[in-house]
Amino acid sequence: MWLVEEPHIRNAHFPLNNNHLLAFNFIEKYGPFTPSEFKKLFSIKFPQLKNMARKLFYDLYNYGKIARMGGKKQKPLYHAIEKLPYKLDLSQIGEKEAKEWLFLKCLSIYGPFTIKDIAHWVGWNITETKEILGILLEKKKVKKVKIESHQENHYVRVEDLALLNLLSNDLPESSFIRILFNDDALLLGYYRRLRNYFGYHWKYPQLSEGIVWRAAILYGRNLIGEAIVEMYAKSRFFKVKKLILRKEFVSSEISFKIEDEFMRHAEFQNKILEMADPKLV
Amino acid sequence: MVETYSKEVVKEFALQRLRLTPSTLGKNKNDVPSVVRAIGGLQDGGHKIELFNRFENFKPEWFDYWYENYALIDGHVLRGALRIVNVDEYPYFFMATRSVARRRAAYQKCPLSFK
Repeated sequence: MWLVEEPHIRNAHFPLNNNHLLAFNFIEKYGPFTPSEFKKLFSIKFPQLKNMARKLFYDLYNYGKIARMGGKKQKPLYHAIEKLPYKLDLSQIGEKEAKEWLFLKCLSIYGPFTIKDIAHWVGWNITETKEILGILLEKKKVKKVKIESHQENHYVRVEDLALLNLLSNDLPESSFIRILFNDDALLLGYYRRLRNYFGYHWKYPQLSEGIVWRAAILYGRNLIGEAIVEMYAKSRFFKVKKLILRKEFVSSEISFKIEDEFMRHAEFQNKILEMADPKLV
Repeated sequence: MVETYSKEVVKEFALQRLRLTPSTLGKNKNDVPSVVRAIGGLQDGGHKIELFNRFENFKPEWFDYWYENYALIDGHVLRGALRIVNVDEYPYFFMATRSVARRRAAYQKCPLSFK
């Protein structure tokens, strides 16, 4: 049975109150709902709460009581988190424990990262990122390392040192092409250091530019250029415009691989490839 | 002693962990959750392109299968952006990013239980 402590209801710092409880019970019993569906149906049953229905709904989402679970007609559906086919109980995990987990998760993906890199990836501020680092250093789960020609300290999971050492002794050849989407994990994680590490300053497209996809072209361990991709739903064409390539990477073999990879993407989108000639930089 | 690594080593590490190198690509539907887990989730919107780059021959319905069965769910984690993560990792992503969410407008201290 749900209990609501009266003092908390009246305390502005504890915004979940009896109205939230009514909303939660309604979602748990009749959900899942899109936000609009919830507002409509909840307001019929509780007309006095009509004006705050949407706020109650999003409060419950922000507080982890409900979660997005699939969708209906391009709208997200939300349900009580207990309805997931997995026993999730957010109250069993502390914020500090979760932050340590996410810090380590970040390092497991990217390897040596600076405090700023980790803070940027998660959205934490530097102070809180340093706090978590301190705990993990003390627990000997992370270690400080240096990267050649970099002054800043980098940190790595202790368990990943073996792979780094292995790669130091035997670095594989790399000649594959990947055409990365704007939000690809590589571009997100390395956003501030793409030029420094991968040799090309790819910029995330701003809304005002009206660009849906500024593809970053990865060739092995280098970013070698970019292109604007248009693939409108109503068009048969997958258009590669404003193709820019670093001149030191231009060869017939690489050009063929790039075209081949764009062709694969076009086929994946069920479209016909149209590709501009590259501009060399 | 502090170990020093070259940039090439660090990049190769990241590309392997991000499942972008040929030897780390996924092969079939069953690999979708492990790929999503390995790369820290997918950004909602371009997620199928992100997966396409990490499989030998990706089919969009492979993602749909896991999403429709709630093995993958989306939530506003990591910088407040909508991200698709493995369901068992969702509580950690969610709780670890409450400080990020609290800095946003109209967000107050989050009680985790009504009790």
